[in-house]
Amino acid sequence: MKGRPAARAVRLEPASAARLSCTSLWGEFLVSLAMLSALLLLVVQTASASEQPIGFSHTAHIEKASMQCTDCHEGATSRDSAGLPSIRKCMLCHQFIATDLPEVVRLSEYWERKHEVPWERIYGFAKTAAVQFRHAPHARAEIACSQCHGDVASMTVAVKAVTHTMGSCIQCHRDNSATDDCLACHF
Amino acid sequence: MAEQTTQQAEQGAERTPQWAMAIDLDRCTGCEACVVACASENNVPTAGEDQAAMGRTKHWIRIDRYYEGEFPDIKVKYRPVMCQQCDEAPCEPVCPVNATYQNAEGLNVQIYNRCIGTRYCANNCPYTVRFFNWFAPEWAAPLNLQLNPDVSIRPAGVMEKCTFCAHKIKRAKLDADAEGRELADGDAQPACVQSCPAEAMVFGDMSDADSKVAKQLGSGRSGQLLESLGTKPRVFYLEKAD
Ligand code: SF4
Repeated sequence: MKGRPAARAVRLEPASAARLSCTSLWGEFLVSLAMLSALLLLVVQTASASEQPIGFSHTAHIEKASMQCTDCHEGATSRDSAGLPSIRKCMLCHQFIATDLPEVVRLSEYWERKHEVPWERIYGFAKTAAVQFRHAPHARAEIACSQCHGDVASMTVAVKAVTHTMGSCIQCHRDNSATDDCLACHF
Repeated sequence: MAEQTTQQAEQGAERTPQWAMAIDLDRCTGCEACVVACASENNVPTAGEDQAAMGRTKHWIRIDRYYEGEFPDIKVKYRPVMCQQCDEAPCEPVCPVNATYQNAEGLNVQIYNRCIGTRYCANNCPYTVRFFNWFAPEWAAPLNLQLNPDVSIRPAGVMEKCTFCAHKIKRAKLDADAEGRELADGDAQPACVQSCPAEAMVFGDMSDADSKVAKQLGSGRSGQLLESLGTKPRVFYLEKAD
């Protein structure tokens, strides 16, 4: 847990809750309800932030180190799936760079144990949706990564910023006069 | 379909291929290589002994046998039968949720996650080439280790059938696209066609007069299965007229 950047700042706003009148029982109930939901929100959000085994910062790599998405997600422009990089790719740099950062220390622990980092996928389709998504044709159509994945360049640990539904896919297909045949994706 | 084709022509977009298959019955030896290839390509589950005894096997393609004469002067004829991809498909209008329809390329499409499992389509198919998933699919080991990631696994409660290997057609198109060229005749090949040692099957765009399949259809030997029903199949059988 320690040293991992939080995915998103959680605003609790206790001040506004305190401003509520506490004289009546009803008011007290409202306050506790508000605090409870805020607490729940905090739990849920920190849980999603801590899902990844390492608090990989996208923004540090993209904004500060000027890397491209496809440097690590190699298949994004040429293959079906964008893919997650092997630990070997991380270690190409991190054998030498920023070796004392706590997250990089955690990375080298995996490396020394000869394990891959068990990254959690945050995007993907449910098996029951029977969707066959292909990255390459979307890249050829010059759809920016951010259109479907949000502004990852400013994220630390990537969060699911865009929800993929059939509605959003179809809308984009229609806007770009791409096919809206069901068979284009479901087979 | 015609409307869409003219629309595309006006827009100057590429032609919409019209997929069709020609099967030369005089070449087929009944080896069933196509049946095996189809099952492994399309993640077709094995039914198991008990279910098979109840007639619940799934074969997207099967070999029908016809015997002529009396033993020992007997002649056997084989006819590979898969979804005939009819232009006037009896399965389509009976589906209450439009889970099966004909797309612009003439494929009779089955959308698994749209299907609610009424089984009307299978009951209305004169070729009996539609299969219902009564149970979640299972594969006897080690077949479970060779599933094709390009083809969705159909859950219990939905209908499935031959797709003319729509995923391979898609792959061929994407490959051609990536290489910046037009789709060429023979680029898209269903697994059955690819695996037939006798080269009895030919697949391609019948609207392209130069394609191998169009030439086969024009050979004067071609006919359709249960032609009199008016289903207008996209699968054509070539036979010596006698
Ligand atoms: S693989 Fe070819 S020869 Fe063998 S059964 Fe199928 S169509 Fe006939």
